[in-house]
Parts: sequence; structure tokens; C-alpha cells
Amino acid sequence: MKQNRNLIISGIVAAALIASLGMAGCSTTAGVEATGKTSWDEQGARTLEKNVVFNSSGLKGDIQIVEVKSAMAGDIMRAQATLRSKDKDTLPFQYRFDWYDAAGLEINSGAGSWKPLILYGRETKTIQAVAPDPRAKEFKLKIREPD
Amino acid sequence: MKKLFLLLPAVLLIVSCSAAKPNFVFLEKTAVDQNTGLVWAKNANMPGRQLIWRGDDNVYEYMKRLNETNYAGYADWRVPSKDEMVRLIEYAKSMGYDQAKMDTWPYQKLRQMGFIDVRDYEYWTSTRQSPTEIWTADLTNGKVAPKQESKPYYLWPVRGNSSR
Repeated sequence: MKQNRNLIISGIVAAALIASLGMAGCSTTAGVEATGKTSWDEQGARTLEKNVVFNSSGLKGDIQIVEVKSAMAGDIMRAQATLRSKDKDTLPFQYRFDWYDAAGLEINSGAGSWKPLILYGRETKTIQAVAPDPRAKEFKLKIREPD
Repeated sequence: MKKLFLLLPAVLLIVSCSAAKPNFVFLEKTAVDQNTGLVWAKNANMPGRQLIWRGDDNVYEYMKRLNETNYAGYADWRVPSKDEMVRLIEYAKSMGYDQAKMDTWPYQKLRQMGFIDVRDYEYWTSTRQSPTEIWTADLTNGKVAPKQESKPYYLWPVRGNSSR
């Protein structure tokens, strides 16, 4: 009887341990995603780069992030980014907005589609997106080379 | 003649002390301190609400908009430093501060001088105390203290250089 009770207790302890390890894993993921959260420097200026992720150093060097902002339309978040080509040649690329909840967890992970965009020499363009649902509190703009 | 020479340092001291005090000339949208060269917004609550330091629609964004619109003809508005706020409060207090009398408190004195909508609350300064704290100036009692930057406070834009 006593042996059974010990077995149950060790089972509960083991389950708790596994659960806490699982949660630690989740929070690590959230921590990584948090680097893409909207943030502000000590002067209160928005740190634009943290909202934008480039998959290529070439594109990162060629595209200047002029402005990134977000606003709430009711309970839905809208995001906008203004990009400027530093290149004198035509610059084709793709972009996608990813959305995160207040805990930094991605909403509809990977569901957004990549959209093509072309910046002509030294051109500036503004792109916008609307969050898929009211849970979205942060966003990240991803930019990659065209297929 | 000798007496005159002895009195001269004292006179100079009095003159220099009085020069450090603000001497405001009120214009349509600004108050110019002729002694320090600082130009304060005449309206001490231009945003019409308290603003946060980090976040959407914050102090930085407001100052940026103010400068983009060339408020009162200037594009170099900024958040006052701790020392500039301290000098303003000291001046307001020098006009007869009595903790027991509300009409002598700094925000009241500043209103009486001609500033508009001076709030009985804390104002941002641009002086940082720590990664999470910024000095604020309380215009009710004149106390200047570091506060958590996550809280909202009032903003009183200033321009010019007070080192003159």
C-alpha cells in the first residue's frame, strides 16, 4: 500500500517536472520571438530594426527602414512600414507580416503568405497589414530574397 | 572711493545672482527667459494628457510631431533637463512658497505668472537616473525625484540652451 502511494507521488513529481520543462521550452521560444517585439530606446524612439527581420545580409544593406508604426483600429492591430531602397538598381524581394500575442507567441504560425514587392532605384514605398485577430499585440516584418 | 571698491564685489554678486533667475517675456505661444535664453511653451500641457516614455504615442513621438509642425516657428523643441526644471521650480518658489498655502505652490505661481494649464502633477525631464528611471518634477511641492519610466507624466516642451 505504502509502495503504491510512493509510486503515485513519484509519478506526480515526474509529471510536474516534465510540465515545467515544457513550459521552460515555451518561454525560451517566446524569448527568441521577443527580439522582434516593438521596443523603444532610452530617448523613447522606436527601435525599428527589432521589428524587421531580413533573411539576407544583402537585402539588409540595400533596404533602409524609414519608419515602422502600428495602431489599433478598434481591437485589431494595424502595422505599417516604410522602406527605402539604398540601391540605384531595381530591388525585388518578398515580405510578410507575422503577428504575436501579448505573451510573444506567434498567431497562426506560418499562415501568412509572402508578397512580392519591387523597389526601383532609391524608391520609397509604404506597406501595410492588418492583424488576423484581436490577440495580436506585436508584429514582425520579415523580408527575404524572391524565389 | 575705497568704500566703493569694497562694495563692488557685493554688487556684482547680487547682480549675478539675480541674472541666474528667470526673467520671462510672454509671447503668443512661448515664454522667453531673457536671462537663460530658454524658450518655454506658454502652454504647460500641450499634449492635453499625460504621456508615457516608451510605447506608442509617447513623449518622443509628441516632440517629433511638435518639431515637424514647427510649433511657434521652431523645430528644436525638447524635453527640459532636470536642472532646467529645478531652476523653474526654484524661481516659482522664490515668489513666496508656503507648504500650507496651495496658492503659493509652484504650479499656481507659474499659472499666476502667465503660463497656461500648468498641472498639479509630475512632469518629465530628459535626465535619466537609471535604465528604468527618469527624473520627474512635481509642480505641486517642487520635489524632483527619479520615477519609473513606465508611468505617464505631463510634458512641458522647451527649446534653446540654458547655458547662456
